[in-house]
Amino acid sequence: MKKFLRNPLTVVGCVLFGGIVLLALLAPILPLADPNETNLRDRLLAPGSDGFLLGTDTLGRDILSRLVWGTRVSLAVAAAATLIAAFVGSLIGLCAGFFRGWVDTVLMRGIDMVLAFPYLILALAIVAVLGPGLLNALIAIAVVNIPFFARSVRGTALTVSAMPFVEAARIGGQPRLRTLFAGVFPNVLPVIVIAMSTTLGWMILETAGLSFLGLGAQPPQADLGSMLADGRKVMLVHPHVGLLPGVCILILVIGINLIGDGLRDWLDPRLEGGAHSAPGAATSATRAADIEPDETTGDALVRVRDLEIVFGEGEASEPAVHDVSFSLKAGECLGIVGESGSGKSVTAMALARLVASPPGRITAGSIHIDGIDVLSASEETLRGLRGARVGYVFQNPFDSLHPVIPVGKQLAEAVRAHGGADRKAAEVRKRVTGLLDQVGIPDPEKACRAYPHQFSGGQCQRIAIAMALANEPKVLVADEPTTALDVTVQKRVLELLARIRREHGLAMVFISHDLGVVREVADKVIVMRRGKVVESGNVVEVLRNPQHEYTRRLIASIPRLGAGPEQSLGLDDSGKTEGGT
Amino acid sequence: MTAYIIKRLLFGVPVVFGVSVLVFLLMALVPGDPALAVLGPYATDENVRELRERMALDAPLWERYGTWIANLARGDFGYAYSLERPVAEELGERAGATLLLAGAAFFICVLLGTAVGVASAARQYSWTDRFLSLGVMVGISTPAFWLGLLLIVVFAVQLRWLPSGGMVSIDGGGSVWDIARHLILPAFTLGFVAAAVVARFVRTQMLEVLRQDYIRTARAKGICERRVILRHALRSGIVATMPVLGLQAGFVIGGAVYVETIFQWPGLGRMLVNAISQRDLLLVQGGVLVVAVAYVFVNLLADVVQHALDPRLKR
Repeated sequence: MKKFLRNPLTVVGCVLFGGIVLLALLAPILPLADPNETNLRDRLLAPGSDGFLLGTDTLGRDILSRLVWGTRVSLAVAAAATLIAAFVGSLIGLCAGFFRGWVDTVLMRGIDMVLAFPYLILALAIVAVLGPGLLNALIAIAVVNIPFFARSVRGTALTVSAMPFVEAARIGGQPRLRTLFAGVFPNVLPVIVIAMSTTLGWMILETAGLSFLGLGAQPPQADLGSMLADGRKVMLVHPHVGLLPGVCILILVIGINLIGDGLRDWLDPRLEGGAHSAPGAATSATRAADIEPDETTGDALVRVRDLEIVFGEGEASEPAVHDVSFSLKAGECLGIVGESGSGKSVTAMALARLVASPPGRITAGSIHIDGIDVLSASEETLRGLRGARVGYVFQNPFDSLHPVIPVGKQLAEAVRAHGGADRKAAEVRKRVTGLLDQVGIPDPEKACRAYPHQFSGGQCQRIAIAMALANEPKVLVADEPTTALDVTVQKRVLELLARIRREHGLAMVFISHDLGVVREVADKVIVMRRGKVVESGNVVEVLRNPQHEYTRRLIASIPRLGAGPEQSLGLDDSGKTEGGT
Repeated sequence: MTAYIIKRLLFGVPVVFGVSVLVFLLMALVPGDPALAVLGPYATDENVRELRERMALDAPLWERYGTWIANLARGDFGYAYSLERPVAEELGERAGATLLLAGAAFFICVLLGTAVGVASAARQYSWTDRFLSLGVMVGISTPAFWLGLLLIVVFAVQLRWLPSGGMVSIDGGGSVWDIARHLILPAFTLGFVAAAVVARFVRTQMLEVLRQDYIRTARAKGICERRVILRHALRSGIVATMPVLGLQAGFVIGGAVYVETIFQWPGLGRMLVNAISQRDLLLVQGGVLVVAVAYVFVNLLADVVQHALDPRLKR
């Protein structure tokens, strides 16, 4: 509940909606003029006139009083329609999702039929059949909103019905209907509440709309919509008569929608933990003092000092990486090893400030690459770094290539990104096919026109490597480049990376959870655990003589051909990057 | 692609069939004598008897449906008693006006909605985002009929820039400029309200896409952020937005009823409202059927476009 009211907009919504509802409820005891008392002498008075705060309408009736009483009618109709639609729709959705099979098919095909109409047109058709009138408008509006409830509820009911407790109840011999209402229904309730908050606003608008068209409230009864229609007749000279009821509708619906948004954020578990945040172009970085290069790292291409990266804000923040330092010379390969959550991928992403931000922030330390101070670089400078000086190969090749842009175009874009915006098309094309050829993709011309989903995982990773090489970077960062691939494919991709490093004299940062793989490609290694470096040094020495207990366990977990079952270390090989957490 | 379109068209057949049954049933189930309902309280007994015979009211329901469909196939939608002319003629005359209005409004809706959604998502949590989100919230909550009145008061009455209505017919010999001048206010009224929903969806969708790995790849290439947003993120965002655009077409068609009434636009929406007030049921039936079938095809088109934009959906 506290969370619900934490959003100031939700509070605004509660105040708007609550205020109007309160006014409408209290209408009979408020000191208001009789809403139906006509007074032809005081017709069409402007707002602020003596005794009439909001003026009078065409028959000299007090607009303020009429607004309050009209809101009562509109609210009552909308609330009733919402309840009816929610009841019928939810029942349909629950049954369809719970019983599945032919029940689902029949019910949902029926719903599809209703959805085949634009909903206002269907409401009009229903009113045409039943005849104009507020009650008929209510029925029409309720009917056209049933599909919305049925669909939302069915989806959740399907998920809930597949949960183990439902199966358990069935085996336990519990009556099906009891499972449905005592077991499934409570789990679906939040969805119904959210849907109700969404539809209530629509209902207000639709009721008012039908009344505006003369098909809802009939005189002398008046709701906000029919008042608006009345005002329309004198709109040219006395616009306030028509505009005020509209303002009332607007405020009411804004209030409802704000509350609806708050409810959704509160009740929908999928939105937990700021799942709606999209990362910006570069990781935000606050920098400590600049650190002068010392003797041992003077000629280093990559120099990282005391790096600290924090995820989250305020109380919820936790450091993902701290006090990480390393350096790398041209032609060297550094392996970073650790289990999921050790901060190895985050460290690698930070080199070009690619850590998702929010939630990530670089809070201390320094990163220098090829003379560029990365943490204080402008976006422009960063662009000159990314792709041109530092190339990246990511873990999951399928997800890392754009799914709906042809591979050739994605590569051409990488080629053009740096100093080649006005290169001739033929030249770019030649470079692209050259790159694809270099990484061993057969028939590059044809491959250019294909989309990522038409390649295997290994081929996708080759394409990703080609893309990283497009501008001859000096540093290649490979973040678990083989984890998502089959074992046999892994080996070939590793060979490709090794060959490319040799041929191009690249400095490489190679991230893996597998010390065995790192041993094959890296010269130096740092072992990370819980955001800290626990051991670092020459890869051969670290493997031969590990100083830290954790490193020993990692070494023990290297799979050997013919060895027994792997020791359980709690290492997570599920293939998920920790970069996203 | 062609195979997909054909398949999709075939899927459309049962839907259109269902729609026609529903429209037929609605009118067949009118309480009381349908012939009397059609002709109104002042009909002579002879007229009622004649119509009962023509509508074959004494035949079983399915047979009446068959007759009705057969007549439709010949272009016979019945006779609009309130207008004293065939329904088909009236529909033909008014469909163009609604198509023009709805088309223009839909264009505004897509353009404005996408632009606002993208701008909002590209700078999430910024003041731009907050301002636009507020605008979207107001847009979603605005009754189209009220916005229309407001625009008339401001632009037609106060500023006298544009006409408040009075469009007689779109093929009545008015110049293109004249039609355009009459079109601006109603199209914007309808487009603005519809755009708010699109903007909201596009923003959410863009935020979702921006979290994907391939966006990180695009950034790692060193291309400018503008290109990341407009080319990489929007490309995927648009694909996901297509079904919502189909639904919004329905919203635009429905909203056209209000807007046509306010701006006295000579389209199907205003015709429907008049027909309902006059209880001219055959006219209502014809109008609803035409609009619903058109809507089925718009959704079909949205599916086809989405299919064309997303190579993953191709076999």
